[in-house]
Amino acid sequence: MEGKKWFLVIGLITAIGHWLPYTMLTDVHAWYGSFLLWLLLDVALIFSAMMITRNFEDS
Amino acid sequence: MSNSYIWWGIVAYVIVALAVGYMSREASSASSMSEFFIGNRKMKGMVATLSYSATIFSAFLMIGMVGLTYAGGVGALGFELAYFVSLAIVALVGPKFWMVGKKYGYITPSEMLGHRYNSKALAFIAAGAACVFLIPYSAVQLAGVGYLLQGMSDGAISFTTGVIVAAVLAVVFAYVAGIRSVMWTDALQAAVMIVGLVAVVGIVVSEIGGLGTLFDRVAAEQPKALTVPGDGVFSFITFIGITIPWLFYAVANPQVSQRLFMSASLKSMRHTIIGSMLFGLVGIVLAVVLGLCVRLLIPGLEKADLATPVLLGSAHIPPFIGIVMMIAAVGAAVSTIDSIILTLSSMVARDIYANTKAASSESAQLNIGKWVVPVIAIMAVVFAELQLDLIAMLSVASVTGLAVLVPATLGAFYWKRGTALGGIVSVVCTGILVLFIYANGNSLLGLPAGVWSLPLASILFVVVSLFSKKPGRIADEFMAEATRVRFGNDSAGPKAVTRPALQEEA
Repeated sequence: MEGKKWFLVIGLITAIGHWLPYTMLTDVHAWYGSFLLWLLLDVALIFSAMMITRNFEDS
Repeated sequence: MSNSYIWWGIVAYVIVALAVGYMSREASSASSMSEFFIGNRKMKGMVATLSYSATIFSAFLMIGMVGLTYAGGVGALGFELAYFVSLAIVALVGPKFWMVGKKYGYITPSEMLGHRYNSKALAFIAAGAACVFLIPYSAVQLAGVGYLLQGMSDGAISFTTGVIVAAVLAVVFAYVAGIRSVMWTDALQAAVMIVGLVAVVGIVVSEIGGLGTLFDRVAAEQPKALTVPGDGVFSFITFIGITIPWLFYAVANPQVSQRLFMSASLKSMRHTIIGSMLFGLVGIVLAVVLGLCVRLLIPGLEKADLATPVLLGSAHIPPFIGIVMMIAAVGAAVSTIDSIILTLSSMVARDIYANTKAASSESAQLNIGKWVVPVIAIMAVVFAELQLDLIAMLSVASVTGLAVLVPATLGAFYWKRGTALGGIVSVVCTGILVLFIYANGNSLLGLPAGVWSLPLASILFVVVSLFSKKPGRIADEFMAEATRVRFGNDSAGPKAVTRPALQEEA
């Protein structure tokens, strides 16, 4: 089911956004640390929403 | 900054916003519940997108987010990830809302719950919970204007004056043409806000020497601002305490989910969702960068929420741009509180008044809804005056409370076995627990309310549903309707049916 697959993708993105900044990136004091990661995850979510709604039509 | 600049700015904003609101009225005027509260389900295009964005991001973006970054660094951007998650979830759940809304003629999300679970009591309780937990969120918007005018005038205009000005404007705009005027003024303000943010960030970043220099300086002078937990503001527990409730923000917050009933088509819904995510991405990055800039330029502010106002009133920003940004922020706050006021008044009229009074007419409901508008505004003013916490944290408190509605809302679409009793117990018990935890310093067994509310509400919903009577025919029909259309099939939607009054199934 397509909906279930996307729930999993969104869940995975959420988990990465909570896990990496508090582990691998906690000592990266630069723009390419947590700042960049969260930015990329935001973009991934926008892309996901575009894919989910790609067939929404007027009629 | 001179007070006369500020007052003239507000006068200019009121004139333009009133003109736009007045022109937005339909020839038929706002004489029905559907027109006044949800624009006859005809909302589309740029107006719908910008209005949805303004309702979601609001003054919280320009003042709260900058303040949160000022206080705790880039962790604010991580918190905003939850916003994007909630909008991606709306892409999945939104079509189902829209489909059943069109089929059964729902005006409010709690009315939908009442019908799906065949329970007036659940509709009543969901509307009551929304009223309780949305008051702090409305108050946050008013407080945003209070801090803005106070900070920009260097204290010459008091916090209270700002709060009252915002509340009066919100009530006036709500009366002009209901949701239609709110959406048009929303759209105008959102556009001004994003252009203004670009200008302000451009000015401040170039003063610092460019984005590269900004990050180099922050890394050298305040390195913890680029990581979490950073200075300690974003401990992991605090972080999940604010993100977990926010993951379902756009589904649980009725002033946002009610918008899902308003789309003219699924295609307009797609534009609204994607457009507001793009708007949010630009706005949030700008707000976080601005917060980092203010940390360097104006350190040591007594209240982090004064970061944007003090910057706008300072010599760093030309007065004209400062005033334009102030207008945009005031507008954003007013439009968000307007959306909340309209949603709450529609819930009081539809789910509380109409459910307790037999055979209430449409016009009687509309009148009640209009009477409730100033009452909610006054309650929000009183709450704003308490100045309890950071704007961002108060918003979290509100969304944490509203998260109790998530299991019943998602269960309506995804779990046929979910029952009215499960919904009632989960909303009431978890709602009371959230209030209790906040009354005791937002900690229970070392965890904040945000960590408790959603999991506990979910467990109660599932367990109580399993031990109560299976839902009947209405639930079957509702779920069949919600799953019938999705991802491109029949996206023009169903024909509306006349829905019989609720009768509790034996």
